Amino acid sequence: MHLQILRRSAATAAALIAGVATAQQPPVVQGPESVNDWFKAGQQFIHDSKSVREFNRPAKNVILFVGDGMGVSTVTAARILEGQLAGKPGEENRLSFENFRDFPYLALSKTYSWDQQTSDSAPTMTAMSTGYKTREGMLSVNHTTARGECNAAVIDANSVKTVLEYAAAMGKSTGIVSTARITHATPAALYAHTAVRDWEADANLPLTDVNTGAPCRGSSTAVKDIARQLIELSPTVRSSLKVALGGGRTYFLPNTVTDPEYPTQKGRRADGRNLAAEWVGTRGTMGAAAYAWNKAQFDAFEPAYGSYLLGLFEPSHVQFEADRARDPAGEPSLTEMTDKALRMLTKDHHGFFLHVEAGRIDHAHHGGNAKRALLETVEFSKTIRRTLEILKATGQLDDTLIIVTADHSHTFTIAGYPSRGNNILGLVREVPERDGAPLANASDANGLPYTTLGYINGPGYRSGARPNLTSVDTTDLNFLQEAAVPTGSETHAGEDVPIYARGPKAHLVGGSMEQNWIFHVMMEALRNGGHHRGRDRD
Amino acid sequence: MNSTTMMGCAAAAFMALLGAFQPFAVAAHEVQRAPTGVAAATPRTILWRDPQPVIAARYEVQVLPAKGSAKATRTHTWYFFRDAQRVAVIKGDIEEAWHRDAQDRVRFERTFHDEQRVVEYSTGELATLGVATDWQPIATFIDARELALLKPMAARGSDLCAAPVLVGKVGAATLRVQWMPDLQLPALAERREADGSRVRLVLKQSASRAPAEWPQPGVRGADYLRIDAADFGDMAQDTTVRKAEAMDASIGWRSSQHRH
Repeated sequence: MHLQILRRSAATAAALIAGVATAQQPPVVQGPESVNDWFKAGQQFIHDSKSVREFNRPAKNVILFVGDGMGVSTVTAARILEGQLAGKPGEENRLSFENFRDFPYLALSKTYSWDQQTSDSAPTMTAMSTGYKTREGMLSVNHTTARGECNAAVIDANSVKTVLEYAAAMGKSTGIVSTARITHATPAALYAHTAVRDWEADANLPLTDVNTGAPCRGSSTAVKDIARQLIELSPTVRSSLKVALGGGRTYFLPNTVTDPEYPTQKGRRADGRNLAAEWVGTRGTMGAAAYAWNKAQFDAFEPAYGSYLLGLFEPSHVQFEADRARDPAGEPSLTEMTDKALRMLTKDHHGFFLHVEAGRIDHAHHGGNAKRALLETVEFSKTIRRTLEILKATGQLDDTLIIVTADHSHTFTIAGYPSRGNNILGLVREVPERDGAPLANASDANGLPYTTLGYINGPGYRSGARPNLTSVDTTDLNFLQEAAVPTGSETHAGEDVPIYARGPKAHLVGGSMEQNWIFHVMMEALRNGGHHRGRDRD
Repeated sequence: MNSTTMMGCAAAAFMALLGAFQPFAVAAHEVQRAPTGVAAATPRTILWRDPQPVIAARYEVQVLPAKGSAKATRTHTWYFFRDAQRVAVIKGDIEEAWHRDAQDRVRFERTFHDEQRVVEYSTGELATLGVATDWQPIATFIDARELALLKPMAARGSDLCAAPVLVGKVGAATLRVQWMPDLQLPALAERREADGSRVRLVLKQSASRAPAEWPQPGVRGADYLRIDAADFGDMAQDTTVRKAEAMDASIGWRSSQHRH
C-alpha cells in the first residue's frame, strides 16, 4: 500500500513537472507591453480626450501639410518603419501627427473629383485650396472649364480664389515648400490657375488651342504658364509670398542657359526669360530678396534680414530623402526648408499661411518602391515635429491651425499575418502556433514566402511564376514590392485619406468630409482672424 | 599567343548585347558586382582605353527570325556618335543619348520623333532606377557582367589584338563578337537565341567626324516638348510615356529583376 502511494505520488509529480516545463516556454514573439499597460493607455486616452481644449476662435496662422499619396496604409507602414529604425517593434509607434495630444481631431477625406473616381493631384489640391472640386488635371479653376482651355480670359473667368490668395488679401505673409517642383500640381494649385497642370513653362503649351484652334503658345491671349504665374502674381499676393522652396528650376531658366548644377542640361523656357532672376528683381523692390539653388546659398540666407527667398534645388523634383546625401551641390531636406520658411513667416505679426508638401511619397509609390516612399513619410513626420517645436518656441502654437492630410492614396497594401515587430519591409513571419516554436516564413499556395508590403499594380509585377524571395533582400532600398497587375507605373487609389488637425477651429475637422471642406475649415479659422492689416483688396 | 595575351585582347572585345541589341540598354544593376572569371583576370585598363576615340559609326542591325518562322528579317540602320561627354545613337525614329559632365554625373535622354517628345532621365532618377552609369561600358557597348562568359576563338590578322573574336553563352543565348580595339567598338556582334532567332550588328562605316549626309543627334528634336521620367506616374495614359516605360522595362529598368 505504501509502495502504491509512493508510485502514484511519483507519477503525479512527474506529470506536474512535465506540465510546468511545457508552460514555461516563453512566446517567441512578445510585445513590450505588460498586461496593465494596455488598460492604462486606454484610460490615459480617455483622460486626454476629456482634456482636449476646443479653440473656438480665429487663427493667426494656418499651415496645410500635404503628404502627396500618403494614404492610411502608407501612414501605418511608415509609423512601423520609424519605430523599427529606433529599435522598437514599431506598431506602437506614432508619427508626429498621430499623437493624440498634439492632433486630437481626425476625419476622413473623400478625394474624388468632379470627373474622377480616383483623382490626380491637381483637382485634389484644388479642392483643398479653393473649396471647389474640379476636373482632372486642372488647377484652381472651376469644373465648367474645358480641357485644354488656353484662353486667358476664360481661365480668369473660371478661376476660383485660393486660401493663399485669401490669406494674402488679409495682409498675412505666405509661403510654399515642397520636395516636388514648385510648379508641380500640388504647390501650384495655391497660386496658379490653369486648365492643364503640365503647362509649367511656356514651352509646354501647345501651339494652338486644342478646342478652338486659336493660337496658344506665345500668344498674348494665352494663359500664362505656371512658372510665370508664380513670378507675375497680383501685387497683393506678390508682396505676401515671402518664400517658395522646392525643385523645378528648369522651368524658370531659358533654353539658352545651362543649368548651374548640371551644365550638360539647359533650361526649358522658350521665351528667353530667366524667371529666377526676375524673382530677385521684382521682389527686391519690396525687401531683401534672394534666389538659392544649392545648400550653401540656402544656408547663407538669414531669415532675420532677408524678406523674399526663392529656392530651386534641382532642375526637376528634389532628390528622395534616401538619396539626398549624394547630391554634390547639396540640398536642404524638407525639414530644413520648412524650418527656414517658418523663421521667415513667423516674423510677421499679422500671421501667415504656409503650405508644406512631401511631394515624393507619391513618386516612390508610382515606382513600386515602398522603402523610399516610407522614408519620405518619416521625413514628413519629422518636418511636422520640427514645426511644432518652432511654433512652441515662438509662442504661436496655440494660434496656429495645422492640418495634415493627403491628396489621394496609392494601391499600397499591408498583408498577411506578420508577427509583432516583424520587419515591415521583410517577409511575412507569423506568430508560431506553439509558444517556444521558432518563427518561420509564411507561404503562399505554392509554398513560397511573400512580403508584408505589396501593390495592386505597378512595375513590381513578376511575369510567370512568383519568385522565391527566401534569399532576396526585400529590405533593400531599391527592392520593388510585388504587384498583382503589370503597369509601367503604379497608380493612385481611390479610398479616403486621413485628415489630422490641431489648433483654432480644428474641432471642425471630423467625420466623413468632402476634400474641399478642408478649405472651408481653414477659411473659418482665418476669417476675422485678427492681426491682419487692411481690408481685402483682391 | 599565350592565354594571357589572348585574354588581354579578348577583354577588349567584350560587349553588352542586352535584349535585342540595345547597346544603350545599360541594365539596372543594384550592385555593380566585380567581374569574375576572365574579366577578373584581365586588368580593366586592357579592356578599355581611356579616353575612347571620338567616333561616328554606322551599323546595320538585322533581326533574323528562327527557321520556319513566318516573320520576315528586319534590317535597321543605327548611327552611333561618341565624344568625351556624350554617347548617342540614332535608331530610326528613336534617339538615345547619354551625357556626362565634368563631375562624371551621367544623365540620359530618349527622343521619340513620332511623338515629338524628349524624355529626360536625371542623374538622380537613374540612380533611383538602379541604372548603372559607368561611362566606359556606355561608350563601348561593353557589359562587364558578360565579359567572363566569352572566350577568344581566333585572332584575325597578324596583329594578335587587331580584331579578336569572342564567343560564349550568356544565359540561353550565344554571343559572337569581333572587336576593334582601335575603335573600341565591335566590328560584328551576333546574338543567337535558344529558338534560333538572331540579331546581328555589323559595322558598315566609321569616321572621326560624321559625314554631312548622316543625321545628327539632338538636332531634329531641339524644339520638342521635354518631359521628366520622374513624372511617368502622373502621365500613365500618355502615348510617349507608355512607350518609354515599355522600353525601360525591356532593358531591365523599372524592373523587379534587380539583384539584392
